[in-house]
Amino acid sequence: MTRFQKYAVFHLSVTFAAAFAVGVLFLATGNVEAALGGFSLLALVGFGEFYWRRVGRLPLEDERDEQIARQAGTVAYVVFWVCFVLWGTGLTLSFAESGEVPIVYVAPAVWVAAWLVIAVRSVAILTINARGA
Amino acid sequence: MSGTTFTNHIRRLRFDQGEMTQIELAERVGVTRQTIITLEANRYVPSLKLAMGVAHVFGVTVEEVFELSPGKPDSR
Repeated sequence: MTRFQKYAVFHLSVTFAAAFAVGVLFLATGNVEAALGGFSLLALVGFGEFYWRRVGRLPLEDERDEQIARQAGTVAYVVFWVCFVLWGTGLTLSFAESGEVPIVYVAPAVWVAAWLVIAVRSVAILTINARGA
Repeated sequence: MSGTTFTNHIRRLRFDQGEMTQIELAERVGVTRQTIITLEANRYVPSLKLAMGVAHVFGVTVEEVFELSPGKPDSR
């Protein structure tokens, strides 16, 4: 497994942990706003940079990793925009009569978007690596 | 390119060079071992720079390492 794959696995683990924390907090408190605190675990992705410490003579990443990173980024970007448009359209249709969208549907959007981009990008990196760039 | 297959002879060339390891080749051309593995398995089409680097390590021309031949369409 290359450094880049380990980096993706770490990011994916963090997203799973964050989703689990959100679920547990929601079950424990029954409060959506409180449950959103679980997304703070996403800050752990910053520790993924430690995977880029140089060990040995081999390069940490090469042209193939860069190509995979570009492809995975495109996949994450596309998935994000599709979900973003569906989310916005869904809210508009659901609350068309009142014209007011409850904050409980808006506040999680930023967290969910960040979670989605990190998770999809990580899965894409691992998938592209497995099937060949 | 459609209707062509991109193959290589890296594995045989490594063998001819006294069983050069994948790690040794990776170090000499400046890529990860995983890239050498995917190259040998014909699952990655290298850049011109990497292709020339590999040929240089083996002391042969690029055409002697890599081959573009008619066959199964290349989907990449």
